[in-house]
Amino acid sequence: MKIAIDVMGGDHAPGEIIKGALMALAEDPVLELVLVGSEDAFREFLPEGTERVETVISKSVMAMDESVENLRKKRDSSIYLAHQAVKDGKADAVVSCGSTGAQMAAAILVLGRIKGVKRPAIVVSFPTLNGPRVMLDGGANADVDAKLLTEFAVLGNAYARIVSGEEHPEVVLLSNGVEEHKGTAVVKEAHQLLKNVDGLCFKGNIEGRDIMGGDYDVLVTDGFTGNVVMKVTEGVASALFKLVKTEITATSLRKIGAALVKPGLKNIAKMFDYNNYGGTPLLGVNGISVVCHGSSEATAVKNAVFATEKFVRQDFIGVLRDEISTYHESQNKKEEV
Amino acid sequence: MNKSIYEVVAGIIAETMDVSVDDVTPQKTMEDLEIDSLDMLSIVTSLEDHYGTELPDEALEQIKTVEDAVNSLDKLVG
Repeated sequence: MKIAIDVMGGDHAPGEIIKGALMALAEDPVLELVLVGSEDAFREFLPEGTERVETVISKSVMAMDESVENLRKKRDSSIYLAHQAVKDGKADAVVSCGSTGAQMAAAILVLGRIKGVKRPAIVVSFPTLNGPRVMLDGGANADVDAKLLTEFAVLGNAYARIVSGEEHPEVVLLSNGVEEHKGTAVVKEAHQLLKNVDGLCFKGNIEGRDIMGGDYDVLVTDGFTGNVVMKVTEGVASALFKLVKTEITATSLRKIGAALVKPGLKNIAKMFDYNNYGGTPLLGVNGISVVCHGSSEATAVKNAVFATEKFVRQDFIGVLRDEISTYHESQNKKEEV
Repeated sequence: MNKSIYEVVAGIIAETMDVSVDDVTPQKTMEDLEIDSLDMLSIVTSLEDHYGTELPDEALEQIKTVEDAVNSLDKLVG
């Protein structure tokens, strides 16, 4: 198993990324890595003679806020070359903590799309009262039509089956009401389409207030809403923690109580810590390209590498390809009738 | 319009967008073909690789239809 890592991507690159890669190597004796980065990065952070590591030298970096169109002129960038390693068969999958937009662009450009996938999506894993759940699209496609939302549901369904082992994941559509006549024209049309997708356990609409309840497996929405939901959730969680901390330490008496609830609060904070989530693959591109949080530190990188190994072992792309093909065959038959 | 360049452009668009080459006509806009910025990136990169050239940003901004793309390339490699 060989995983390519873009060591130049992310807020803490390259130091924390290489550190995480070394941690993964130490824990997994059969893992091999292709590290893609600058000569300076390797000179500074990669101990000489590190075994099971191949290095690929990149000459440029796609900055976090850089337009993805620049990738055309930066085919010597770490994100591009890391995907190239997968295309050339030098690695089984790629991991990056860099710009998600650039990663999506590199994945499409170098690896292409799975046949039948119109627009690849970003899947996001987040904590709920019922455990981690997935949502897509996390931000790749702001403008969508009903067919595209249906395609996201099929991709998300396949992802949930692979990751959780759940045979019939429950899929829901985000709207402003549970009734099927609620929502935008696109959401209403998508609701009708989703009801008729063979093999999909569509449970209808849910409202924003029910997202954190987690009474579903896959939440489907457009990339604009998905991204807003994700950021609002992060913001609310962070604000709540600050408020709780301020209130429970406001008086001496409360401080005594605070000491007692501290372990519980730490557990909740752990649930919201992206470092424990590893990373999630881009759904619909023709190869495994795992996206990590931009602020990932070494532990998150290590967990992302392990998550990626699992996707490779499960033949993630093969399963996704089959699911998409089955979906289109079934839709074509319906259209013929 | 340069016919041989058109055939290459139409072929690359059809392959990228997973549509029949017959659906790609000179007058169709990128919007008609549902080509977004990432698709455009793939198409332009494939064309640049095919012709071993680089399309300037100013030329890219002018491309609205399939024919525009053909003419831009024609100026560079025709």
